[in-house]
Amino acid sequence: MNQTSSEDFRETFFQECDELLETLNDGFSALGTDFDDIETLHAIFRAVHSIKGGASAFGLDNLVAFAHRFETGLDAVRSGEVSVTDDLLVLFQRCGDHLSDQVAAARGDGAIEAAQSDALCETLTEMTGATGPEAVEEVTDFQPATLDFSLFGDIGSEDEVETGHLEATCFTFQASADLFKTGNEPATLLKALERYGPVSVSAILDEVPLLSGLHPEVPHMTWIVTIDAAVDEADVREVFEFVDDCATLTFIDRQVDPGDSGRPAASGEDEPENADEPETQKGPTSAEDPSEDAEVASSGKIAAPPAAHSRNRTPSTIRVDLDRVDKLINLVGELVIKEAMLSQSITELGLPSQSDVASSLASLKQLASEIQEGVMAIRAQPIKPVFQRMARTVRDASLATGKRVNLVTHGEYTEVDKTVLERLVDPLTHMIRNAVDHGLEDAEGRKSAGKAEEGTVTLSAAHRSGRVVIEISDDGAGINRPNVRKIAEDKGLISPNAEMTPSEIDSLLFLPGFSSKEEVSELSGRGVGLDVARNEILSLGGRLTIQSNPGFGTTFSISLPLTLAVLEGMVIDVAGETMVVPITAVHETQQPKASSVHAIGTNAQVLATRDGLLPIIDLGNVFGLRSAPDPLDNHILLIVETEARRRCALLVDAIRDQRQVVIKSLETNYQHIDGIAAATILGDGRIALIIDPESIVARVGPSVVPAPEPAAASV
Amino acid sequence: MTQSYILPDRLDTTAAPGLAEALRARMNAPIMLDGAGVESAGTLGLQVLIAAARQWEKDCCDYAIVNASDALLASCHTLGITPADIGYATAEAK
Repeated sequence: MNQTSSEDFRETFFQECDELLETLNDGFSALGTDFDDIETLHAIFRAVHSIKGGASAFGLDNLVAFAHRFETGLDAVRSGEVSVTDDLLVLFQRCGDHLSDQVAAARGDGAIEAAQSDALCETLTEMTGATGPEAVEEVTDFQPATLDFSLFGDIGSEDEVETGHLEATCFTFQASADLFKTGNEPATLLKALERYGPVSVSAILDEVPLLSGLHPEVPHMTWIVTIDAAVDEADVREVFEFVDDCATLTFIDRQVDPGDSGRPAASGEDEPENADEPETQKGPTSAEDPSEDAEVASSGKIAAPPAAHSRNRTPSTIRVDLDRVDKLINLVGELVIKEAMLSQSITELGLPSQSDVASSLASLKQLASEIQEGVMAIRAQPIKPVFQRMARTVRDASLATGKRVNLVTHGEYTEVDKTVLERLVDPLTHMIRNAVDHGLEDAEGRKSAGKAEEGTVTLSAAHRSGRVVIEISDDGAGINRPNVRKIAEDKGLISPNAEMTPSEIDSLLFLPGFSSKEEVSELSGRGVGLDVARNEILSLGGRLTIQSNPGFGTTFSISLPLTLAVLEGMVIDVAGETMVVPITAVHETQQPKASSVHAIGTNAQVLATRDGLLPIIDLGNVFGLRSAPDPLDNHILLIVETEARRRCALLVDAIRDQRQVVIKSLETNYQHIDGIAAATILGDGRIALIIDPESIVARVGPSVVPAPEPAAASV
Repeated sequence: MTQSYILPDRLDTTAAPGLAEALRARMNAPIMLDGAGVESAGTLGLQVLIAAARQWEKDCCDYAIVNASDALLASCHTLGITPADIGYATAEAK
């Protein structure tokens, strides 16, 4: 195996680990609701076991050793020697977290202190009585590189297995009579496998009858095939692709008792005819996993691995390098721009709307849009893995602060762009820590407030108005506003006389250098947290808001765009400039009537709507394109709604179009500009700025548009 | 008296029924199969030889393959069948 493929396998192993750790965490959640759920326990055990197996193939000794001890502890519960309790579940979760750290360390991300493993192992021994054998047995369920270490004596010694220097792929092969009728020959297929490495074949001839009873056209052999290399099952199956319906392949990924005849496991799906005499069909005798043994028993003649196997594999999915997807997304973005340019050119030609060109262009538009949606869907992933990491963060924070915390999650299958997902981890981690450390009261504080001793942190995700909204809530004491204000004054962040609304005081937490805890704690409160978290969210095109209810808790809301690549925009004109307003923000549009526009105070106007009075904001004025608004009657008002559900009316000169625009980051190409989310390239090649209604409202504040000149006062 | 039988040059799927028929006609008497001319062999052809070896053994009659060609042995190797399975080792032992 060359270096590249070795690295590929290693990377595949780590990807598998991520999925297995996810299974592990799911299992712990399920176990939390039912301690006696033996199936879940088996699933947890299998996940740890698979990680151990894969790790041993790559010589990750520390990981293998810890996984083995963990597995032994789990086995004590599976066998009924020990019962699951709250404390034991917490310990298992900590072991799961540590296993996750070990995997990360093996990946080159961080380091693990041996003492930490030892301490957990000791606690495991105390609580489960499971010391575990000195040697780690060598079995693996890790699928992509099917690893079989012990089937046959000639594969390798135990020592080789221990150090993980041996990689082999083993499977059984049975052919039906149809295979021969179609002119195929097993020898040719077995020969073809040699492209993957040295192949050794052993024929099982137990079922070959005497000549007198032989039907010469019916095969009675089974082959045990071992390729001395880690080969993906799919690659092996590819060789048998053309005889798929008349060949049975069963991949062996578990230990067989050497005392057994070596009769391999066989799949029960498409048994070749005349191939099933029960007395000769013995499955592997390893009794390592009772659940799998149960499957052996139920099938009578067929051994278990295929069942576990099919559960783990998802042949309908493929792994794709993210760079390739990104490249595709960029190309589709360019396609959308070109389509817009073509569209504009054709419009300028003045062709009739029913012409062939126009209808073809409409189809092209539709196709481009569908391709774009399809490509974006590739990048969308459920937020669940991030939430699971937060579960761990809560456990760590709970341990560090001594506060009992229950994490409740909602909407974990909400899909978010993968890049967004990755960059969400740090800010979320900080906010979760913040919620546990600063938000929740200690046990006594909660008791005296009449609350349950265990605090609750709620993490939720949902799609709302074309954006993803993630909320982190705690049921703590809420923000101590007088204290926050005092700290901000002491630090010189605000002037002592400043008049501030409660939400403005809450927003002080986002100021750089602000830390409300007088003593900087290990966990959070380094004074660099929330502002950094906020900046990270902002750089994703998101917004972070805070709501606090004294005595009842605090909620941080993160609002993110669904994608970072395109948006549906309304193309508008403002003071001679073309701009784009995200369509998701636009609630409605209307032409202002004199009767519905009123002056407020000396320098503001409001629009009377059925929902009440809305402040009017002139975009031309906001961006310094004109000093005062023109009379409003030949303009258009866009009623936009902000994340905080505040509405206001944006004054623009005209609406030109509504279309998908490709987002080009201003930060990447220039720098951040307040009130501007990004830029885009229009069909005529000009650049248009995409405005950010939220920050415009925040920037202008409640007092909105300068008062009209006397000439316009009648409007 | 030991019968002799020269194995066909192709012991493949197509040849298997004919070979089985020919050998069945020679059951219950010692037999020596000459494999020198075998140029290729497949699963079903070799299976006939395995079944024959078992039949002759059950019938307590001598059975042997002699002069196994390289092609015959190579096919056995590819398919994980030992020469003894088709009766070749027995011939050597003699």
